[in-house]
Amino acid sequence: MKHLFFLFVLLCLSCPGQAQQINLTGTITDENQHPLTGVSVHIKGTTMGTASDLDGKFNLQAPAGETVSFSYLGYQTIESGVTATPLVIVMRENTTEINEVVVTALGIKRDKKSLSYSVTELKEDAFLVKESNLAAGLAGKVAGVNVVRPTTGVMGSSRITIRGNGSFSGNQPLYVVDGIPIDNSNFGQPGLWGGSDGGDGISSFNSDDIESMTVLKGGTAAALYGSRAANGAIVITTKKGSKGKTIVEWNSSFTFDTPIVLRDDFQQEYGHGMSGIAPKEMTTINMIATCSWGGKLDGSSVLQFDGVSRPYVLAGKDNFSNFYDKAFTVLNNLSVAAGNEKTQYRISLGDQRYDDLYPSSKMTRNNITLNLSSDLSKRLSLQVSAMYMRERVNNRQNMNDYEANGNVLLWLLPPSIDVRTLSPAVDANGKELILGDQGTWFANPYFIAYKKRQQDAKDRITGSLQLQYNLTDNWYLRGRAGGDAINRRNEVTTPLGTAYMQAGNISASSVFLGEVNAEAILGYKSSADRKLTFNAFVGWNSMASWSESIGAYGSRFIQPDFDVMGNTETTSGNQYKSENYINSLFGQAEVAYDNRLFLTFSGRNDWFSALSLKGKTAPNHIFYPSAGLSFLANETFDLPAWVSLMKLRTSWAQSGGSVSPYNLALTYGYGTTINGYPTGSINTSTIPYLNLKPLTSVSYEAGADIRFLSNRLGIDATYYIRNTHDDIVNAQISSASGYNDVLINAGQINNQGVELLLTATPVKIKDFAWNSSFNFSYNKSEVKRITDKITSFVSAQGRAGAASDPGVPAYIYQEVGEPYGIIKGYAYLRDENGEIVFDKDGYPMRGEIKKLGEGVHPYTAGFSNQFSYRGFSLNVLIDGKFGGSIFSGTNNLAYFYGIQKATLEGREGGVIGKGVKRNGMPNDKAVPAMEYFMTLSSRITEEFVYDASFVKLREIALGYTLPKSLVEKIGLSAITLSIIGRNLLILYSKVPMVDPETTYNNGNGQGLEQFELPATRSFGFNLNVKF
Amino acid sequence: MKQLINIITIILFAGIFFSCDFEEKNINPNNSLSIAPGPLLSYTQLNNTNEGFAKRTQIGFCMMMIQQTASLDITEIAGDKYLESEEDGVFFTTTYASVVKNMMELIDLTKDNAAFVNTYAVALIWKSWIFHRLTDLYGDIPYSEAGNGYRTQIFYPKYDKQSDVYEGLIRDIELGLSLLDESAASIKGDILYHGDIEKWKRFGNSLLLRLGMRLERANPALAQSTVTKAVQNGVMQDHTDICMLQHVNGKNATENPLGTVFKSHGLLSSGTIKISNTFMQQLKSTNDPRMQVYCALPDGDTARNRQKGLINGYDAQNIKDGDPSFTSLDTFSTLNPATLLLPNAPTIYMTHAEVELLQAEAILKGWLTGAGTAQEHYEKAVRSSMKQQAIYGDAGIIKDAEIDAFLAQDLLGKATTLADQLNVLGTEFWVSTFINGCESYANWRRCGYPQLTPVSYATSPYKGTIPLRFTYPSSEYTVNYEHVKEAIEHQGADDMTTPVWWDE
Repeated sequence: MKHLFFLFVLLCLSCPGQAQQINLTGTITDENQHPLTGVSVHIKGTTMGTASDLDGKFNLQAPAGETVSFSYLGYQTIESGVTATPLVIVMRENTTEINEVVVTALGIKRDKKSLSYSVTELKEDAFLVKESNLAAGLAGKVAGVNVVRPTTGVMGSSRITIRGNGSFSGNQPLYVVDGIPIDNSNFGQPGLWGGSDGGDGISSFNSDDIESMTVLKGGTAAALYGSRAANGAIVITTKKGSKGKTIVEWNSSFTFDTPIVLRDDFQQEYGHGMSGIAPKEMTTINMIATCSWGGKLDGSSVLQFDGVSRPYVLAGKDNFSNFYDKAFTVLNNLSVAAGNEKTQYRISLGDQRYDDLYPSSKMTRNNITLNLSSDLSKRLSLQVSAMYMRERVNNRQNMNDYEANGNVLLWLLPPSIDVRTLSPAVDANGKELILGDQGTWFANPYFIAYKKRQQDAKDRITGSLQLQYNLTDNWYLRGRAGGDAINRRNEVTTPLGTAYMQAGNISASSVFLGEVNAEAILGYKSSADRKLTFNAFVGWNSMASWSESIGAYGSRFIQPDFDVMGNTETTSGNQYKSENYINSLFGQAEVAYDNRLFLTFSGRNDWFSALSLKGKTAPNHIFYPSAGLSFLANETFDLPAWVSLMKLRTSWAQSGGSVSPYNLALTYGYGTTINGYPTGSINTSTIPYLNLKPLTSVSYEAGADIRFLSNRLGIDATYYIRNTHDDIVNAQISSASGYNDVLINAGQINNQGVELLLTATPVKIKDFAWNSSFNFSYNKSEVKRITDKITSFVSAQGRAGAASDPGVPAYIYQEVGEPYGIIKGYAYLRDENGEIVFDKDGYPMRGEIKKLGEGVHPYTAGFSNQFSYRGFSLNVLIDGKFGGSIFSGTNNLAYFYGIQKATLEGREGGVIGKGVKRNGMPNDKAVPAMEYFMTLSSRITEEFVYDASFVKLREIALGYTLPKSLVEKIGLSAITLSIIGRNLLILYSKVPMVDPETTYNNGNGQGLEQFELPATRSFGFNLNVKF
Repeated sequence: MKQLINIITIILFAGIFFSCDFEEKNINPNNSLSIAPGPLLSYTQLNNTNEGFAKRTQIGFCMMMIQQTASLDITEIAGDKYLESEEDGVFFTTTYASVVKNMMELIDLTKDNAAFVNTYAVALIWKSWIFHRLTDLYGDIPYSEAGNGYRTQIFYPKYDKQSDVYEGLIRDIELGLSLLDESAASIKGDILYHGDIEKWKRFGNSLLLRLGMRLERANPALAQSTVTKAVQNGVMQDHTDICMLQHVNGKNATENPLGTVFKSHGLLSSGTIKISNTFMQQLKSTNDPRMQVYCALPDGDTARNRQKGLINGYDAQNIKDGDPSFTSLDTFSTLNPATLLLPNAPTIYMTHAEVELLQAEAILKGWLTGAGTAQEHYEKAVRSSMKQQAIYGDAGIIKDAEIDAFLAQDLLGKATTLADQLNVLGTEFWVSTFINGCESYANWRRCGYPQLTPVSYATSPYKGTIPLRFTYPSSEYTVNYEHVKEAIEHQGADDMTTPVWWDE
């Protein structure tokens, strides 16, 4: 070790000897004669260099006879001998894939041509139109990636699945930032019984710091990450410093968000009431809650829930816009990138302010990012990155269930009630103002906004340090360590006087999550100029993660309007700790023949603490091998000249996944002590399984990347198979066993599909270019096995109709022989001709519980077009998903309460359902509309399962970069102003009332929605200034 | 160079050796890998009630169906109008997942363990108490294979016939009673009787009496022999033998959940739960002093002349059809917040009064000889029930003069026919077990007294018939269908109107 250190010092101190110097000057431009700023100019084999200035000019003292190299990101590197001066250098854009380098697993940069699998890399310009959750910005941009952004507000999470859902448990990919896996833990999701979206790990990152995001889709791509990347990996590289010139950049954007509510699907003709009658006394009002089954709005004076009589008119037409705030987002980011040939750094400061739709619901997020790379010596390089993220959120909103969900009444309030009449929030006694006794569970939206409090604060630091030492020209050693620490505090109060919880309560918690990764790699790179080259490395990684949470709960406030823990009658607390370790050894070898045939093997072995315990006989480790082949046909065969690239690839890999710690043994806990007696019990509802082993996912893919006409046209197609077996299933068992479920290695899920990427540059002339790309994917999933005894289980359930409440039950099932996550519920009873059968009273009859749709869209597509003309650029992204369905609880209950437009049918004279009687004769029985629709919405799930296919105008960005001459006059180097928009138009959808992408959580049970915040469309400006 | 590679190799291998400690790393730091029997027994004695059970099962179903309470609610309270609700399955799932599971664990831990012979004996008796409540409500239930999924790996327990369950219950109690031993180590973790073996003997025999009487129609021979033996061996003697859980003010989990749910959800002011008019009329007609203990207006007023019961079977929309004088729910009596709803009010599992009433009935039926007269037992029952109300503190104390005045009516003595006598006993049982809805409901189904007029609510599937059991939870249909199907084939449709075996 001593020798090594001595070597470092020696290298650092060494400097080149003196030679005859000449003053080298010149100008660098692109092919269109535009000067290029910041081009790295350096003398080969030395550390001497500079960068071009604003006019593309440079000036360098160079020894005569040396070679000068000019390099610039996105351009081909040029080398030139030091001869005549001044030099005129014209740099060409790097358009061919041949030289494309992508970041792959473990941060290893590889030539794209050598990859045996499909990867997609998104550069920073893909994130110009910003999403508050970074990962959600992937929507429509990558084939095979299914992005779900629950409509839970700006502070919500995302659900990213790559090549389908492979497991009954986790399905989201691993996120890696600058080589270090980061925590993407979720801090709570709304479920069957409501709750709010606590946000996820990836949402904290600032898109302004992202240089590129690489989606490693298949098992082969991710195999090197082992178990944690069983569902693929998303590798994020942050922006680095620049050589030579100091670039100060300020990016600012301001957008407005407006709710997407399909108001045309709400009826506006009948008011509050029941059986066609407006309420006349308070007793009736107490009973009817939010029913819109009253009389025709006739302007007469009618009693309302607060005892005041008001005209019976369409008073609630603008309830959504009267209640929800004009939401807006203000993002500011300032960064400084600077450095010299040896050391570069970048510092970035971000400030993001989100004012959500829901009044009082807002989030502030700050990011400080530091990046440093330095060549400490000719052979030793250092990279450091550190990020601090701060998030403060006020009033995350509850979804789905009624409890404390202020959105419910917005969707259900009768047309004759103006939401603003609820605005006092409380009555004279300080109790929540509600729509009468039957409205206890329908929260007053103003009470939720201004009386209930839900606050959280998150602070996070991530950082990594990497040292690479090139032992020789071929051998290198790389060490890396990184950490991620999150602290989150949370406080929720249900104040005194809340309708459903009169006495109120408060809960507070503090969670700490930490993770450390240490990694070392020894690699060999053979010289590039040989016909047969060999690149390989072996490595070691050790991961440790731990968490600790402390919570307190107090119930029944003593003094009103003083919502603190100390002001409660009873309090209790809890604490939870966990630790998890994975140790790994891995390696990869790549053999390349003549730059046209590439063969790659990799292997990784993971040892899991979570699968270790005394007495266990099954192994606690697993080996993941992979093999891949890439072949450049155009370099081998004599293909026509218009074929610029023809690459064929195929690969096979095995990856897997583990479980969370402490799932192998039965444990006991102590509860309340009463009268001096401590109580204790088995404290798990899941039967543990000592001999649990990791799940295994085997994937295979084959694909072709073909480019024509000098890359003006390209097609990249992939077929893949991804089969999971030994999936760790939390299988529901009979509660009479004493437990709710049992953990077993039994599940088997198959996914297969195709991905297609078409790229074209239809027009490229002097000032005008049009680039177009279309991606498409189809994933067919099938649940092959759950356990020997279980062939189906309920993965999620709709809130409507649960616990015998209004509405009809709907379920998300996992069922053998069916795609992952199907929607099941009661179908109409139909005769052999498919006609709906009605009972003698004229109501539709309930058939069996059966499959009514798929909760996950099998098809996704995105169509992106970029136009540029001089300083103008226009990006338009249209995307869509197809084939999936959704059970809309919002529509279901809007039918029940008579606010859905379809319930206008038969208000006068009754409804005669279209179908047949039990004897086969056409149904002719008229039923009063209220009874008909209440029965329909309590009996038939099928009616409320909609085709959720959609096409949306997802993103639009119209940018204008001011002419350089103008900008330079005011002392700046560039100004780009853009008009940006997101979710601007729904071009196709069949779902009434709500946006077709509406959903309340990011769990496995997709295909349900009910009473979320409305989806939003946003529109605004982005200003980018470079100093 | 070589040296360097050596160093790297050592570092890499050092990494692998870390994996050797993993066995220690996966030991849950939050929970224990073992437990003592005492806390398990305490758990199974404490966790037989919770807010949902108190509000929805005891009051919302049992007491509503037999018209002790009434409600206009149509969403949360299903028993008043016999509405379809999944709530009746909740008791099944929570009982198995809480007390049954831990009871099986306790039995496993104490069985064949000389140091815990008394704890084991009590566990056997208490296990029968837990299971009898289940089978009385559902009929055939998982029993022999239930609650032990981890140890037996039986994930889908079969349903045992109620006749087999009852045999098992009686056998376990008898075994438990035979094992109780004053000279052995004391009972661990006994919240109910604080280790008093004599009281456990009385409770065990009283429970046998209760179960025996339950079988009077289904298995008269077993019924009679069980009852006779139980009384001979010594049942509860006075109101201090009551089996109840004394709640404690302070923490949510130790407070009486009935009081907690009323407070948290503001049930006094919302008026969701009211005293039934049927029950109120009974209290008024006999000038029953328990009225001031049980009933109060939402403002806490217990003045007798202001108390009013709500009729069963109506909602807020049509209440005026049934009660034209209806103005506001505030004018109707609800549970008395100064007694039943106190945070430290006990939860009653079994009373001495019941034991006396059952004996009175057995004597009338000629099953018991030399055990006194029915009248004596009836009077003891009434006196005990009224004295017992002092468990609710000062507001529960009933003066001797009031008791004497009530008894002076001589309700039993005035009854001439056996049916009339049984009606007096059944009605007294109905009044004295008020708030222990499960037992009131079971005894009412067994003896049929008091005679109640069923309600007929429009959307009820059981219009005009008081339900006779609870239905199985829907989760059993999705995961344990084979066994539920067997139960249905044996017992009859899984409806609320199918009688359980002892009620056929």
